[in-house]
Amino acid sequence: MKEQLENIIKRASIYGADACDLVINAGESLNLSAQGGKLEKYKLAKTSSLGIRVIKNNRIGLSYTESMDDDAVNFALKSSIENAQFADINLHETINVKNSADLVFKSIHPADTSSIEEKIEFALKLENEVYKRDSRVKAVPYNGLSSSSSQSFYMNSLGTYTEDQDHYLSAYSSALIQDGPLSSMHYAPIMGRKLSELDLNECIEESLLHSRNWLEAKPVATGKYDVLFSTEVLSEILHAFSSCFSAKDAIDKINPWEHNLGKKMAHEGLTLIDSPKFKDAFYKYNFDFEGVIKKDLTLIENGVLKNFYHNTATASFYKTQSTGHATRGTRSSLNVSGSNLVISPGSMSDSDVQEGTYLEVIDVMGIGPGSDSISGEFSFGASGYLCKNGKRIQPVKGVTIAGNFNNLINDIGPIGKTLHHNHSQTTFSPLIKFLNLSVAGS
Amino acid sequence: MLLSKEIAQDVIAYAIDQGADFCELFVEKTSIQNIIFNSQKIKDITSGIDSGIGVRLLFGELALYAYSNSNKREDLLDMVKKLSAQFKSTQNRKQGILNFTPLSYQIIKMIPHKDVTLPEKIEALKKLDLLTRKQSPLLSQVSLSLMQKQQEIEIFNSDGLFAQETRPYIRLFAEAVAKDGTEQANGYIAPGVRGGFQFIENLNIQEVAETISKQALTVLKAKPCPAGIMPVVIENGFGGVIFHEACGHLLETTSVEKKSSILWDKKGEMIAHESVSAVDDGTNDNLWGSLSIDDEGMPTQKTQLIKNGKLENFICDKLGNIKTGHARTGSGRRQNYRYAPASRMRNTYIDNGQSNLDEMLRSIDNGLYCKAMGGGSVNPGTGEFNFSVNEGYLIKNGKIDHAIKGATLIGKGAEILTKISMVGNNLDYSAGMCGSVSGSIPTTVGQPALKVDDILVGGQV
Repeated sequence: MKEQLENIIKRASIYGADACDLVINAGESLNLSAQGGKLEKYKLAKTSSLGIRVIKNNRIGLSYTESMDDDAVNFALKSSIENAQFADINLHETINVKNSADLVFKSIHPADTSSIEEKIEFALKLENEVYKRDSRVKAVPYNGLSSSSSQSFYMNSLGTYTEDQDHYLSAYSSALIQDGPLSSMHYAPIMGRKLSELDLNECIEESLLHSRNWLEAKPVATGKYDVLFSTEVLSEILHAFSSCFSAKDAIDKINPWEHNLGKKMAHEGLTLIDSPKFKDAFYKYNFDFEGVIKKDLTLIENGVLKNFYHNTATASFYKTQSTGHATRGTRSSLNVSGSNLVISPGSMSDSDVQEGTYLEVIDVMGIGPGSDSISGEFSFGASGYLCKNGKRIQPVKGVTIAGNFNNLINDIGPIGKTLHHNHSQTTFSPLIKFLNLSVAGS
Repeated sequence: MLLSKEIAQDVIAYAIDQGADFCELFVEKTSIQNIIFNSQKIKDITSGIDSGIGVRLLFGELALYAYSNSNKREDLLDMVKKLSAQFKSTQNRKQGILNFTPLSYQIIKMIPHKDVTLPEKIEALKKLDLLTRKQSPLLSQVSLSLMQKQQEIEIFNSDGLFAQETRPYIRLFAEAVAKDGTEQANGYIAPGVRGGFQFIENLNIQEVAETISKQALTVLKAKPCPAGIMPVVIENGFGGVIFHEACGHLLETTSVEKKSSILWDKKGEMIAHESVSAVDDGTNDNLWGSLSIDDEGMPTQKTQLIKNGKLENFICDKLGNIKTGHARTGSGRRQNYRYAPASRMRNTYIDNGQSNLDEMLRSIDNGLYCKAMGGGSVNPGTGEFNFSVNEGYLIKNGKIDHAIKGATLIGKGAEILTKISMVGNNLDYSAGMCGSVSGSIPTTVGQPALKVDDILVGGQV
């Protein structure tokens, strides 16, 4: 692959590019799902695409192709140079990462060796077992097993080369329960590196647990509530407002915290770190899409905004260093993004955090469209439980939670000392009690 | 031709020889160009080509799917071999010679293609940027992008079908951000059609500039929305996203066949207020979700979903037809060759009724007027939905009062359909992207203004 990329970069130079870099994303996957006790879908996928970025006269041009034959690549190279002619001058976006050695990361996890027959058996069980465990299950509309491997390659015209390979399996199941006029559904995913690591029981029991409980759920009375979000939900909220940490969005004037570096933006007990190689994280991120080595970045420390995510272009604009958060797909331009998020533990036990009456939110709907990253306002549907001193006393659904992100992260009560994580093990957080949120219900 | 008929014949014959009941090849070449303009500069111009072939085999109701970027005979045969290895049948079936006579069909009307240079496109964006920035000194950012793509497809199948279509698309994304001290808000629209650049030339860009800037400035000064159950008037156009999400998806046979839709057995029954009639139409002139043929090669049609409150039809593809027995509606759609087709909406809208907006407002003492809806989501198993309101106003004593922000509408699709009590006569459409099992596809949502008697509005307490 390296030789092929070197060859393309040489051709870019011949066509007139002052500098160039290339991204290749490739992957293979097998996807299975069942319906009515039989295999319903069987899909083999093999993808590969090449993204080209050229710089000519300080202007950026982008193109991509899914075909790696010479004609297609040459056409893409010419297109990127033509595109660059019409872009405005951008003195900050340059290709300047020059590493002394190649950065190659291959998964340390042994490859999954399960057979296709074993995978099919697993997929069928994902559906069958849900029906078996509760006679009220009317359908298992969403279920499936996916086995994937991915590779990404990067090379720039200064010779920087990176290569990253990984593989994983994921599965999910759902239980749609109907009991008379009442119906309820919950969806649960699991992930692992081998089929034998996937806990089918955990997946099925989680989907059944909440489906059963929420069958007779009702809205709580409209009012102000303290709320404990599951790590899954908290992760979604943090991602909905991740623009607050983006130097790119600050330059584009759509980061509402553009001028707030060094200012107190959150509760003093809140420390948030982007940790690409966090020990318990499912994915480890070793370098970014410009070849910069990743390391921990403190975003918020004791409530104070400390850093933005930077690539080399945003770093040049702000006269600082890249933080190794460049991201780029083969079809998209240079941007920034986070990796694994870790909220530092506090000092309270989980039971201390759970003292009193509060709403435990397990599932949310419409968090993306319901969150305005520019104004900070949010309003989304929620399901969970009304709890007292750690005990679930009433299943709840059909409510909305509304507020403003800035208030949310300031009006914080006790913070637990034990870290919990979301399903994909990309967000780690202690239990945090968010105070006085507006809940609309009955 | 993207793929020769001889190779198509060979691949299909091999698939049938392996025991498949049906084989289909979906061949695609799509060229895309995207221009991003913000901070008064052209930031990125990206162009590219997606090309590949998807192979679908049906063994009874089991669907096997694989795809490749290669159109070589040996690669496609190898793909079929791998795909069918687990399911190879012992029955000895042979595929006869397929003539692949090109399917003739009525081509939908669309805004003609016109060759336009990159500088002309850039000039159009610059003009819109200037017009928008003139609207108010409080506007801190204007972000625009222009997407154009042309999808060429060929479909071959073991029934002898051969169909081709070229599908041009164009869409403008326009956003304005207003800032006053520490407060910020945005306004956004994204009109798009099936057609060429003349759409932009014919677009009233003054209206675009006014719409996004007014929305941003209105939300900037809006007060938090009060929470509670109240009557709501939802304005025409993108308001139809609620019907799309909360009802349309429940009528797709991908949900019906699994009985995961609460409407799976309700055909012929009253499922909505008698004032409600709804349509899913693939044939509308120019509309973003229109298709001459679907991605299974069937000519599209106008499908009456609900007539005066009664459920008339489902949205059905080939596999949905096999599994449910409902008639195909030319609704087999997919994002591209990387997805197997599934029953999907095209241009879906609630049809005109008899009321007008003023009548609806006058009938409400305390309620909410949703002038511009945002996105949302739905749980198809239970029909529970959640939608954000991008621009909304309180209704007091029959009149529009002050602007609100942070509102969400929450409810159940089946219940809301019965609570629509007034349907307006100002049907309008809006372009959007719909994500589901077969990827993200262009769809149109639409409705006239309508009144829902009561719905839970999420907001501040």
